[in-house]
Amino acid sequence: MPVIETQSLTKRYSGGLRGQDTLAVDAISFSVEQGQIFGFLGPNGSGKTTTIGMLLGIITPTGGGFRLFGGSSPTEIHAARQRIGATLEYPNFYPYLSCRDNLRLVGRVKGRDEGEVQSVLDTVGLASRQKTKFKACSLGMKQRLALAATMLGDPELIVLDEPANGLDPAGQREIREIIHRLSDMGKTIFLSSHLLHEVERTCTHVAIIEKGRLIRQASVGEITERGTVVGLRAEVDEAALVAAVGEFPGATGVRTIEGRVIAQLENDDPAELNRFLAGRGIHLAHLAEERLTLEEAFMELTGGETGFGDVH
Amino acid sequence: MTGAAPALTGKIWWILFRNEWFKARKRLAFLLPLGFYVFIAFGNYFSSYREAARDPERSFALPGAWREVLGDDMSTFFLIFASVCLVMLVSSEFTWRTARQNVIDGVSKTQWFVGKAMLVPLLAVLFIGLNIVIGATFAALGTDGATGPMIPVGVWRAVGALFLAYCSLGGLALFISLAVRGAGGAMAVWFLWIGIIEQLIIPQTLGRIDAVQPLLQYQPFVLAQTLLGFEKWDPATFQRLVDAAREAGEEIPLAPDMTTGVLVTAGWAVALLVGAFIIFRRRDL
Repeated sequence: MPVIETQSLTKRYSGGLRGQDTLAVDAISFSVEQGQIFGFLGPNGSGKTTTIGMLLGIITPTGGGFRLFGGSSPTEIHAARQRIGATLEYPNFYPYLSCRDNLRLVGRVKGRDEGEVQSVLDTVGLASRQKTKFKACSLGMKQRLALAATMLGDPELIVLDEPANGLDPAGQREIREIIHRLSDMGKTIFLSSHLLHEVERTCTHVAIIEKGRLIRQASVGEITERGTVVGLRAEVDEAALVAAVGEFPGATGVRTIEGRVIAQLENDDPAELNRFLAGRGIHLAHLAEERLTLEEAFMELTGGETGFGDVH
Repeated sequence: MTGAAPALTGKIWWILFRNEWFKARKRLAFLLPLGFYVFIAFGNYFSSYREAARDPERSFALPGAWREVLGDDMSTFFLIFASVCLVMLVSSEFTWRTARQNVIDGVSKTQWFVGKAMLVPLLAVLFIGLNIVIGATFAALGTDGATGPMIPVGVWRAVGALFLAYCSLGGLALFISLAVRGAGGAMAVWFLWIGIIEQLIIPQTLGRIDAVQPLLQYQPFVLAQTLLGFEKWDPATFQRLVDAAREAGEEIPLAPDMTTGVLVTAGWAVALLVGAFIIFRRRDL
């Protein structure tokens, strides 16, 4: 049974008397299975937060529907939300209360005692700063506090919207480690982010949306899988190498990145390409198999500029 | 801790009440108006006590002092200060986006609304209670051996009327807070309503229509003020006023009919709370 399942979920904002309606989420359907670390990707304004908002009950869908833990009626969804820990966009807390007091309020609603509040403060490394008022916290501390609040109540599903936003590399790494720890504990993680390298390192599955429409849902491996990709370097200029690779019948794409020529082959035989180029007097100094990064796959799927250009 | 989540059981109401009180008592924007109100009450009753102590002609003692403790001045202060507190406590939940986070944390929108609506009786009890405690304490210090019950039945009636008046104005404050969704804007609209719209704009526009003119007295703030005044609720005090007027050869006051005022105020309270709920439910967070 999927933990989250949407069916043609739609949100249309009325433009008022004279304005035009805005279709923020356009009939998207996807599912998240138990135990997955699910990345929800999309450019800014693509409808990620609106979609999550609908799942969390703060935005009313205008079409379609969804199931949480198999339930779809209002009562079932309200009950299912008790099994979710979530934070949306920015960490939202009472600025005049301390980190601990903010968590105490959340803890009471989730039926958790002071001991568990202390435990999650320890987990996110805020125990020593628990008396700091929220308004005096750094962005990193706020993000950790939001993570602590989502962990309260031992939820089965954790929804995080841009959890590494504004964090330095060490902070991002810490968040990544916490997410992996939660996943190891059997939690399902639903993670929205635009930091693609973070998602690639963290997630097992992704869904990509653009302009409110779902473009693709698959495992990270499937998304980045696209035949064989090889990086090439030769003692000729880049343009000549690109042109020569472009003539190779087995090449489906070619481009240059930072002085390297990247070729995409339809079969798994880079040696054939090597022979082809040698036959044209181009001797390679470097040839190595490479994998498409999630960022490259994302840009390709969303029509970004770094996608492979067709050569045939 | 195990068992059903509080949001799925009746325990949630007690938890929401505790959370609202916890947030309020740590909030400067709540403590300042409350402190100012207490300061005014303290100053007012201390002054009455001192004047009574100096001047044998004056008296500030129970039960006669109820007329001042539950009189127009402190009651009007209460309606305004408690409404300001309510606007501050509710509307800033939208500025900080904590309203949406509360729902994300598992509270339903209905539960969230009821949690805020619970602030109306909470603030009423707090403000009225503080006023009575401070006023009655000074009045008790100066008890002059008067006969009759120290807490006549009129006290309960006047407190009930004050509570009802605040349910109506608190409902208005809640409605504006949920419609405007920002502390500064909501505060401005609330003051604009009680100070300008009801007092000037409506009388100068709709009030010019003959059929509407008699209805102006039923506007929420105008009507709430007609419920204030201890003598309207205590027959003995009213009789003393009549006797005094007769002795002085002045016009004898007519016994007020409070029934319509009470019913319409209750109607406003219900309508404004229901309206606030509908406007909150219909909009995304």
